[in-house]
Amino acid sequence: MITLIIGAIAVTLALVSAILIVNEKDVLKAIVLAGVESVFFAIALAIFLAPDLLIAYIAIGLGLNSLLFIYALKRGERYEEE
Amino acid sequence: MIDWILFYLGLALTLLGGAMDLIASIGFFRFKDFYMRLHAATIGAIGGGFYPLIGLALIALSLNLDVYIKAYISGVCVIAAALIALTAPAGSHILARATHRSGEVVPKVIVDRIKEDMEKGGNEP
Amino acid sequence: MVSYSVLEGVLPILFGLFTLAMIIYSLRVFTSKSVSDMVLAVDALTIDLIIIFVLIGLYYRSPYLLIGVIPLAAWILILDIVVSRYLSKGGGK
Repeated sequence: MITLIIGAIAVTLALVSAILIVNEKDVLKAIVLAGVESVFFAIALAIFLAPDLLIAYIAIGLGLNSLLFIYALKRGERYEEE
Repeated sequence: MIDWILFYLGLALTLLGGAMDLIASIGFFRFKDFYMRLHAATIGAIGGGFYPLIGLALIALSLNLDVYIKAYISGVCVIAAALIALTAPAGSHILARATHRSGEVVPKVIVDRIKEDMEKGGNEP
Repeated sequence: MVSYSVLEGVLPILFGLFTLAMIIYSLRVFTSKSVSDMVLAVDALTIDLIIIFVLIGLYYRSPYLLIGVIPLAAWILILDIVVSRYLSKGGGK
């Protein structure tokens, strides 16, 4: 029962961070926030007893995503225009 | 006998770590500057991460579960604690150095000798 | 040997402590002004989440749920290095 409450809190925080990603003008902040969203979904997957999806989420959503996006950002603009 | 000692020692370490984690999370709001918040980050990394992991490893060793479950949980906890204790201070140092050099956050100080040396064209340390 | 039901009585207190710290850390992440501040708070948040992972593994008595702990502990250093390399190679303000 208590793990379900923690899962509800984690998914709510993931929703908040997803809303903040859409409205963010600084792209570097948006990349870091995408990693935070993946961490919260990983904890929800651990509560629902899915370790295979958990290891895929951590390896791809955190490691590869941040590395590739920041490498691509070196050749682009950091701040979005209106 | 020895397992009760291990259990209460681990429980005390974990409760201490939880209290230090709360203190560090409040300290992130109370400090005003980025360079001051590095102190709170140190408490959150070592006090809120290293101590509870060692305590949970001791708790897992003292329970009456199967042997492979106990060994797996305590081994993972000890490896993660060693990784945190080695990498979290290095990461904070790298981040503070890059932040000061790139001018992302300008420190509010009276004298800044590193900035004077960089403007003078000193060698790259 | 300590019986498991002793730990079961203590686990809600530990879950409550670390979940409260998780909420306050994530509020700090969402309301930060600069990128360095956000990355510093993400470090502390990830270390807090590692302990919640271990507590969930102890709650279900299943060691396979701990498979994500060591990659999370390595991700802290990777994020620090990548962001500070981007900042110091001329990406700052």
